[in-house]
Amino acid sequence: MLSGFYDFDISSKWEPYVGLGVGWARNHSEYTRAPNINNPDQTIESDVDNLAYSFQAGARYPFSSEWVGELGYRFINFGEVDSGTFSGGDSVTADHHYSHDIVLGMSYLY
Amino acid sequence: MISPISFRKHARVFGCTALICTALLALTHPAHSAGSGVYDFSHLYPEYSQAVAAPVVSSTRVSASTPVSTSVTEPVSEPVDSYTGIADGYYVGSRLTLSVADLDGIELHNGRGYTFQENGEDFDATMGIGFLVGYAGKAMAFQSEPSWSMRIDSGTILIRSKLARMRPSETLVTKTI
Repeated sequence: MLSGFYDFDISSKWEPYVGLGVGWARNHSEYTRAPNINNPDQTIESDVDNLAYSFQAGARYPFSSEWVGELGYRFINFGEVDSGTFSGGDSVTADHHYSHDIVLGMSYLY
Repeated sequence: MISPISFRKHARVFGCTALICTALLALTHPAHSAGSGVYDFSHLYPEYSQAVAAPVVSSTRVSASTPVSTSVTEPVSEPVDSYTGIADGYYVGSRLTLSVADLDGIELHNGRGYTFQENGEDFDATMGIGFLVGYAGKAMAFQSEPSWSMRIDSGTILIRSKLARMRPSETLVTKTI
């Protein structure tokens, strides 16, 4: 995911930011079912590639001239999910896979 | 022979004439400034080498009674508010995310075309890790100008895990990279 950020200067060591991101996401699904007690579990796997995007907001804090900490919120849409189909035709799909994140980060500037 | 009284009289006339001529010269030729007109403050603010200050000329007209001309060129800088310097660099880092994953619009189908669940939604707490490489450019502004910076992250890797229990006997696990 490629993200761009805008940092605000509020005359404080904390530096708020907002950001947007666009990228690629691969949703890998493992769909398992247990038909009955006498038969073993069955599993199918499937991958779906999607265009993903994110919105981010938070603040960064410089611990030194090289090390910068980060605390923020991020919303990501990873796109659709598809389990694939069992031989009998069973399947599970989802239109969207969202994620609401609390982000703890550390960066080193060089 | 010029008597002392006559000498003083001639001296006063000469002095007054010179005074009037000086005053007239001053009136017809107002004071001018001198100097190159550009001042470089880069020795004070090396990062702001674009900073320049225009000269401010102050002049005083003289009157006939005060035949003194003053001309001062003051190196006073005008407010500089439109120049910037750029400090940029690269950074690497990692991120730990505590997340609520949300599958929206879930549908469960069986082989006979029957849909067990439509527009379902499922939430799960999960975690993710990410690695990033970024570039940051920061504009250094001066005086009243606000500072800003732009950053670009690339190469971020995200891992998510999603567990959705559709029916007691069925489990869907979604991992997202």
